[in-house]
Amino acid sequence: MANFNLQEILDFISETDDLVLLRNKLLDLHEYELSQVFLALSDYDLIKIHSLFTDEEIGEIIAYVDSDDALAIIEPLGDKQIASIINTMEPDDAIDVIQELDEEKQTTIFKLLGDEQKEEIAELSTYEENTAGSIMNTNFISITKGSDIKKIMKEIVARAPEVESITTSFVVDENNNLLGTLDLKKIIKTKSPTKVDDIMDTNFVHVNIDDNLEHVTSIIKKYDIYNLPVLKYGILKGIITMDDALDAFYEESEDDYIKFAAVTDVGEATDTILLSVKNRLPWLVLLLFLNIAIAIVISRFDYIFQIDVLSILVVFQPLILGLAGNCGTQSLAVTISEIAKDKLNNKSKITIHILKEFLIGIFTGIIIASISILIAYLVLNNSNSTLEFKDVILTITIALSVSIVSANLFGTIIPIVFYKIKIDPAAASGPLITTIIDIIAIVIYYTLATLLLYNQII
Amino acid sequence: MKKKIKDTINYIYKSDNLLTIKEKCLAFHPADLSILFSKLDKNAREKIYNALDSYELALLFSYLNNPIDYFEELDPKTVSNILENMEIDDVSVILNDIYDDELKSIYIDNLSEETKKNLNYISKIGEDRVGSIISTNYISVETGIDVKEAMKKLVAQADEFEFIDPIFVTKKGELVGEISLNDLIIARSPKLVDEIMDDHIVSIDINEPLAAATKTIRNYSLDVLPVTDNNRLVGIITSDDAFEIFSDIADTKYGGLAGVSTENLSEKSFLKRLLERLPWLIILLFIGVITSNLMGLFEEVIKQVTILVFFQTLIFDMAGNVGTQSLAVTIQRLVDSNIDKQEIKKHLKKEIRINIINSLFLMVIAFIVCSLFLTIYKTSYSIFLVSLVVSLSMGITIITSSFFGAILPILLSKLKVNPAVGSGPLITTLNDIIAILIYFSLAALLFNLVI
Repeated sequence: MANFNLQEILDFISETDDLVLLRNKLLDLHEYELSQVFLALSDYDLIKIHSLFTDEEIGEIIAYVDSDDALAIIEPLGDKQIASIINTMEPDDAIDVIQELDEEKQTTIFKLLGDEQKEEIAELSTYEENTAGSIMNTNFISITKGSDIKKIMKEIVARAPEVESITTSFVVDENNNLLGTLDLKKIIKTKSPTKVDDIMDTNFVHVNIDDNLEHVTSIIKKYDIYNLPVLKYGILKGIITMDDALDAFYEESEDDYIKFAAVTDVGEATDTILLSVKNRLPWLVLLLFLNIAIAIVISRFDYIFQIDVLSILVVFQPLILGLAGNCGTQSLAVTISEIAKDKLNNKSKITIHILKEFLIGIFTGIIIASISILIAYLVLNNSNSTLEFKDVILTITIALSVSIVSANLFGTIIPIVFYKIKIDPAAASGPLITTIIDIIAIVIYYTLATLLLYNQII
Repeated sequence: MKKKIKDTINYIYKSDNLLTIKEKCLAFHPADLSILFSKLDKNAREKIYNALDSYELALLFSYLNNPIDYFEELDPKTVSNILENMEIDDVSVILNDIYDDELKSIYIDNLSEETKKNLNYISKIGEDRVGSIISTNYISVETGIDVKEAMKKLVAQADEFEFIDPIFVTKKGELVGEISLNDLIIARSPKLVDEIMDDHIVSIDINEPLAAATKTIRNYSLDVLPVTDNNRLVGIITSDDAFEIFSDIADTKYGGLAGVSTENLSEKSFLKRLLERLPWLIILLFIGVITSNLMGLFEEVIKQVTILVFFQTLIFDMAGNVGTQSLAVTIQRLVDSNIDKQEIKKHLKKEIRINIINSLFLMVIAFIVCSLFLTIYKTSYSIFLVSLVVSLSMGITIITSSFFGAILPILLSKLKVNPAVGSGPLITTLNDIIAILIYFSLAALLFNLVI
């Protein structure tokens, strides 16, 4: 990597008064690196540095960071300049930054934007979050069918300075219906006169504007597409570039992971202890209260523990809860991952997935139960308990296998239900599922114990 | 798409017209063609082998999940031809997977000298290093040539190389700049490439970890990241590679937390999925038996203070939850970068500090809620003592559990075991054992019981 040393740059900024030299030095940096410099500056230095850049340059720089960081960089500036910077940005990035503002400021800034940008943003904001429309950009090269390749070449040369990538162009009809895609490779190889229709690729892959991001990223990943056309009723509305899709995919999978582990943010190695506490403690407090619920459930079965010989049952409680919890977490991980990969995108796939997990649960339950019967003989043999030996084993193994099956079911169904009612499926995090499964397993275990053992004694 | 694949399969079975078969096959994206291909029988596959040229076959094979399975249907020469046309990183992976050494050397013998050299070069680089996935699918020009010449080279090689934006500029092999296609196409001769190239290039060394490459690609929003070896340009990594790596990392991390593989699920049979999960569960069952035995030692304590049973799960679960959090953070650090000794110490210290603070908070809450619950429940035991035992043991187990959560994946990775494989379940059960010891010993101590 080019040797980018953030501290060195920051030192230079605070030391130098030669603004021309400073600008030249900063212009040597990549926009991403500049964004990191901006984020590290104090408000005072930030305003000084801002004066060295044009609004357009700032717009490019902040496109490299998350929208909240982007806002942090331009927030110290006046409304007019903020608007002018947002005006230069790609509409999909611009809208993200605007949405970070509080409502009042949103209206103020929006009013100050150019008409064209206003229109684009207004249209983009009609698309729901988490859909193809929300991350597409509208800056691409298109050409009407029947044109000669000379014309498209001219168009490409004319627009090369402003579009992100010229490697793919799009052929449309009069109504903007997408007919085919055209690789620059093909264009430069072909001699005029040739109509674009003759060399375009009509087997293009596309997504629809309201397709969800899981679908979009799975398509881009599967087909390795760098410029994916986004259609609305066949009409070309925008493109999604690989880097935007990669970003979306990365963020989504990070988000799934942290929720799965019940933290608010995995954070960076450099985070302060206090920040880490803030990321973890709320989850733990929530889980603590849920666990109190478990204590309450167990207390409903207190009559069992009053009987001396039955206290043996408590000894097996961790085993049952532990295994069931694990099975549930496995099903949960598998289901969240499948949802993220867009593998559960229709009813029959969901049904098959649930059935499979259910069956896995049943087989696991049977196998684990048979092994534990074997072990139980070895462990319980010497116990001089007055209980019917086979009843104890029966209680434990039935509770174990029924808990495992229901754990698999819950671990599978809860995230799917969340997904269907548009809650992030990963919110059904591992610890949360484990706790729920604990409650279920306890009810199963002690109810069985009541039926099979307690009633026998009383 | 499904119907189109089905129709084409039917056509291939019926027809012997190789030209039409070729045409129909090439109408598919190779990703879809690979799905179609894997549904054919041997006879039909034979037709595909004859219809497509080795370049087209190479593209198809690079999308197949198990290309080696089909090699025995082909004569070694054809296999070599296909390999010759594949990306060098794919070839390396495929050859590594062939167990028959004799066959492998035949395939390698038939490759061109250049491919052999490249293979040899990347085989020396570790699996998790940038070099293991580089491709040579880019165009580079030397400094000092005119833009017209560069354009000519681009036109001549555009078909052969997949990534033409940007093209790279080298000086005696050393990477000195890059030219975006946008700039090249509007440049007018006479002008040297040096004038339009961007000499502030983001690149990565061939020995850097893969995670560093993906991070760079994402941060800088790159499509193509040039890879250098002592500043010499040796290949590129592309953002579709980064996509694959991110996806693998995500799978690995889940594997770590849940002890289950989430990779390529839909292609795995039911039995395979079952068998993948069972080993962990059986291990856990055995550990569970140990736990039960251990708890059996405290049977007297339990009999005398039965109320302890109510809160046992709470202590186990909270310890497990904290362990999971520490584990998740540690796995994330491990996939992000390699941790050295000093950082390990720092990391462990930090995890413990975080959880001391967390456990203090939780202990206070647990004590209050526990007392409240016991007051309502009307127990005959000392509410204060029970609440104290519960909150104290919870606090202590939380801290030990966070320590294990942080150290276990690091230990596993030092032992060259994938840190992600099932650390989660292991930690939870480990915590159970510690929690039992602490909880019941503490109770025995405070209630003056003899075990």
